[in-house]
Amino acid sequence: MTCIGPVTRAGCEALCPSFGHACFGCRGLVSEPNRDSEAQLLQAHGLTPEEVAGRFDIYTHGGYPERKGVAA
Amino acid sequence: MSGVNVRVEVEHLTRVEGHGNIVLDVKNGEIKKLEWTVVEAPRLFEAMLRGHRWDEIHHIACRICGICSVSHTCASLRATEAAMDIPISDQTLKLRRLIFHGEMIQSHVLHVYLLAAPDLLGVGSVFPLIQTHREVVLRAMRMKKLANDISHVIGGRHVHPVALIPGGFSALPKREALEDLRERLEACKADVEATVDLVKTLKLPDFERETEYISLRMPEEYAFYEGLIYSSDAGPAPVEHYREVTNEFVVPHSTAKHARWHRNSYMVGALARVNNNYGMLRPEAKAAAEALGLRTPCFNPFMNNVAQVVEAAHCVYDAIEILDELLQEGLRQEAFKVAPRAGRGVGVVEAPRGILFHEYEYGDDGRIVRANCIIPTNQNHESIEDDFRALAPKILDRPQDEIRHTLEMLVRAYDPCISCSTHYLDVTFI
Repeated sequence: MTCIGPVTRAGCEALCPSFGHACFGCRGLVSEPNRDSEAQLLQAHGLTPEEVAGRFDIYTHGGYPERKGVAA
Repeated sequence: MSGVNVRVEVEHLTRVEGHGNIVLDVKNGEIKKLEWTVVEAPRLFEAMLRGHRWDEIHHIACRICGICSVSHTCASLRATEAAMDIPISDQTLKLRRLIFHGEMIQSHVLHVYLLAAPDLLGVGSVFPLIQTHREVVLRAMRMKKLANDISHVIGGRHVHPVALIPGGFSALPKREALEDLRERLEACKADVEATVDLVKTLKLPDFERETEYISLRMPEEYAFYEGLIYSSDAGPAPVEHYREVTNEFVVPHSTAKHARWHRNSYMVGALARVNNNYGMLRPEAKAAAEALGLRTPCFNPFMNNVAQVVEAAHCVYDAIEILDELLQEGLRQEAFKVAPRAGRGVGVVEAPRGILFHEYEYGDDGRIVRANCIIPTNQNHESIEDDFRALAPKILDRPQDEIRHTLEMLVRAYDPCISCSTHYLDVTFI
């Protein structure tokens, strides 16, 4: 499962992944998210840069630095 | 009522979801102004959906409402599934109907006990009732918890379920969890009975205004999750024609759109459903209706509270039946794969507050090009004002406080979900 859980604020006890769904980061990003490392990880698992940006686009809009200029 | 001056300004009305005002201005016995005004900012959800993928849309759309998130999830999934011709299994249908019943019980219990009952018991909120009617409050909480737990077991979360996805479920509930729900629903039958006994003792205002009632309808089942649009004036209509049914329009004093079809307004919600589909209710729910003096067709909007109790009874018994079927058949992991494609689809369900429409248009890449959501409360705003116009002249001789309270109770009877309904943005380009 490819998701942005690793850079998302904790507290939900990973509800969505536990129920077979990727994390959308609905609690917002952690204070100092390592976005680049997370992006590399997601790309290593087959996501395109656009898809990676899309993962950051639902609840943490602007959280991903390369979001600018990427078609929604 | 010549010579009467009345000024009612309720800003904002309490014990409803969201922010709305009541304005009544009477000079010399003549009603100068009588409005139900929604003052919240529009939320522009349809614009937020644009560009997003088919498999994440329902997660965003369900955030429209925290009370009826299951309804929005299901309307959204059904629109996506209609657009892409995605089939669902019998097991998925049963699980969705079950989680739907959970939401219906949760929402109706919330409204009847926590929002409407304080009016009828003569207090300002549920909190004084903890002292005076402890058993009642505990029962309400017990019923609400059970209903929320149904959502948690089936959908993975008490609100905004995660396990419901286009084509089926991403994870299935455990057998023991279903057995536990079964047991607690069985115990809930006594709470339903006690609820009927309580509501029987409450006196609702005596007021009638016949109107058009719109809901879903199915031939052999009380329709919540699917069906055809049905109007008490005009009969059935296909769901694809929903725009011809709703005819949304804007009014200057409200940020929420209004709707009308054959008359100046129509009513949706529990009373509309019971009026249109009484024959399909379970016998236990019909017994509750009889005990509560609800005879259809019923034209008293205050009886929407009673219709909600009747539906809650229906849902408890029907949920037990669905659980029995699921437990007997046993849940199986089902393999399904969705191939996203371009298309257009309408998803219609009955949310607790009435008929709910989602329509999506997808591009080739499986992303939303255009979305439209029409929320039940939108469809009720004009009906609330028509009731105001019929009711106010009859009660102008009463003390001002009583006039205000009666109008408040009328709006509350509709159980409006105002935030969901704010849609309209008046943009002036310069």
